[in-house]
Amino acid sequence: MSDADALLRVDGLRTVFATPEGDATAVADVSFVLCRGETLALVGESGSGKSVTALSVMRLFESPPGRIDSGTMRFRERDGQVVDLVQASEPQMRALRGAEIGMIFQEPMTSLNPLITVGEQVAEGMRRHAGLGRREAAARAIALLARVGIAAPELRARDYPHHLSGGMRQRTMIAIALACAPSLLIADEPTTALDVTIQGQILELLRDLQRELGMAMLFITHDLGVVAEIADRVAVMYAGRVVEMAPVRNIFATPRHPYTQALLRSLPRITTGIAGPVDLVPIPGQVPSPLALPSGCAFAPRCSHAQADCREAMPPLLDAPDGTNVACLHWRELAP
Amino acid sequence: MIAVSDLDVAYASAGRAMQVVHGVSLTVAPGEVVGLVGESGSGKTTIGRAIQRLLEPRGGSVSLDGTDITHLSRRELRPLRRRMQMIFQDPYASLNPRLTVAAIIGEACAIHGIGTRPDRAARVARMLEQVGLPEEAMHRFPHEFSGGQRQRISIARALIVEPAYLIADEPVSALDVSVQAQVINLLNQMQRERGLGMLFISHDLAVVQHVCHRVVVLYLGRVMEIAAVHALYAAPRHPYTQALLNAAPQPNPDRRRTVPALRGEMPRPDAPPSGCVFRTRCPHALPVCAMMVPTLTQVAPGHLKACLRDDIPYP
Repeated sequence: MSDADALLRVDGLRTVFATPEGDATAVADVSFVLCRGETLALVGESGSGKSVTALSVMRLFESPPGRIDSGTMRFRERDGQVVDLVQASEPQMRALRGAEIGMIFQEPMTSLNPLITVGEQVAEGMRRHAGLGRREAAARAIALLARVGIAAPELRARDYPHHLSGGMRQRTMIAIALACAPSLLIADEPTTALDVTIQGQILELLRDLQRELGMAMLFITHDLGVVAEIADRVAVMYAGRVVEMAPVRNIFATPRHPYTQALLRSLPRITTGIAGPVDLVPIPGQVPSPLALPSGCAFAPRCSHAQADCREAMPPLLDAPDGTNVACLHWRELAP
Repeated sequence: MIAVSDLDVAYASAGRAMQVVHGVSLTVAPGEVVGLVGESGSGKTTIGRAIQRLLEPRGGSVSLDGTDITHLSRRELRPLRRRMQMIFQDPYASLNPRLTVAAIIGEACAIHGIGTRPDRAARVARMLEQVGLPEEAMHRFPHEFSGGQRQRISIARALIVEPAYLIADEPVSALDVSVQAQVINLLNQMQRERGLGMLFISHDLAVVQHVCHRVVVLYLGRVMEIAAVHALYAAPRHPYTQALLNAAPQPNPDRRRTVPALRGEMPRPDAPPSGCVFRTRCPHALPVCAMMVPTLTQVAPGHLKACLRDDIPYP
C-alpha cells in the first residue's frame, strides 16, 4: 500500500507499566499500518496487550505508572500533516481526540457523564471541536442520535445516561465519538457487555457508519466471532506481541501461527450435529505474567509444536503467503 | 430430580412489585445437564437463586428429589444444601480472600460434617488433584491464582461435599476462550464421573451446546422453548430461539450477517407486551399474537414451544 493511504503507522511500539515488582511490558514491539476506511481488529485474550495498544494510540493510560518506552505512531491529520502521537504534546492530543480520533469503550456508563443529558454530551464535542453554536450543535446532536438508531431522539436527548438501556448508551457513545466525523475510530470491546441480539445491531451500525464516513477502525476484541463479522485485517496478539497478522479470511481459513490455530480449535461453535456434552480442545496452561515472560517465544511453553530453538530467541514477524505475517520460526512446517 | 413448578418471582422496585419470572416450570433429572438460556433480564439467574432458596418466590414450588423445599426453614434446608451446590461466574467474588484454598474447601466439609478434621486435608488434596490443581495450592490464597484456576477452586469447593446436583451460573463466562475450554472439559468430566445433575445457566449458546443435554430458552421471565440439544440446534421451533442462534457471531467471515437477527430491545419487565411477550420483536408476529398468551405445547416428544404459529420454517 502506498504511504498516502496509510492513516496510522505504528512502528515498534513498546508500552511499559511500572509495578512494585518491576516493569511490566504490556506492549512489546508492536507494528501495524491502518489505511483509510479499513478495519483492523486486534484480537487476543486478557493480558495480550490489545487494549493497551489502543490506549497507547489515544495516549489515554495513567502515566506514571504507564509509559511509552519506544516506537513511533505516525498519524496523518486531515490537512495532510503527519504527527507522531508518541511525541505529540498533551494539548495536541486533546485537539486530536474527538476531532480526528474517536473512541468507544466496553462500558459506556463509565465514559458518559451521569449528570449531563445525552443531547448535551453529543453536542459538546461539536461545539468544542467544530466551533458550532449552542442551538446548531443541539440540532445536529438530535440528528446524530437519530442516525445511530435512537428512537424519539428529541425526547432521548433530554434524558440522562442512567435512563438508557446498555444498547442505547453504546449508541450514544457512538454518536459522541462520531460527532466530528473522525477519520479513525478506536473501538475497545464495544459490544462485549451487550446481549447477543443487541451486539448484532451495534456491529451493523458501526459497519454502516464506517461506509458512510469512510473512517478507519481499530477494533479491539477478545471474540473471534466478532472479528469475523467486522474486520478487514486481523492482528492476533499474545503476551504483548503481534504473533500473526493477515486478511480476515486467511486468519480463519489458513491460520499460520500455532497460537491462532489453537485458539480457533478451542472455540465452542454452534453446530447442528451435537446431541450431548462434547469436550473442547483447550490450550494447556495459562497466559504468562508480563512480569515473568518466558525466554524466546512467549507461546512456546503452551505450544505443541515448540522446539528447542523456540525458547532461545524471540521469533520476528516473518512474511508468509497471501499477505500474512507470522511470528513463528517453524510456520513452514505447520499445515495451515 | 430438581422440579420447578409454575414459579413466579417478583422484586420490590420503587414501592411496586416487579415480576421477573412468570410461571416457569422445568426439571433436572439425576445425571442430566439442563441449560437455562437467555439474555439479561430473562430471569435465568433469578430462577437459579430461587432453586437455591436464596430468594423467596411469590408463587409456585421447588422440589428436590421429591421433597418440596419451597417453604422449608434454614435449619431444615441445611442437609439438602449438601445435595445441591452452586458455582458462580466470578470465582473471585465468591471465594473468601482471607482464607487459604485448604480452608475454603475444608470449610465446606466442616459445615456439612463430612470426614474428621485429620482426614480433611487428605480429602482436600484429592479433590484439588481431581480439578487439576497441584497439592501445594492448598496453602495459597485466591488472589494468587488466575481466573481459570479460581474457577477450579470453586468447583472443588462445590464437589467436595459430593452433591447430586450443581447449579452453575455463567461459570465460564468470565474466562478467556483457551481457559474456558479447559474448565468446560473439567465440568463435563466431573459431571460424567459423578453422574451429576446440573442446571447450567448461560447466555452463550455455543457453550451450552457443549455442556448440556437439554435446553430451556427464556425471554422476559417466560419459557419460550424446551428441547434436547440436538433438536434445539438443528430445528429450533420458536422465533426467539431461531434469532438467538442466528445472532451469535460465528467465526466464519464468509457467513457475515448483513442484517441483525433481531430488531429492538427487550421490553421492561414492568411493562410487558400483551399476548406473547416476544411479539414486539418477532419477525413472524400476527395480530392474534397481541391477544393470546401462547402456552407451552409439545411439537415433538420432549420438544415444547410457546408460539401460536406452526408454520415458521428454519433456517
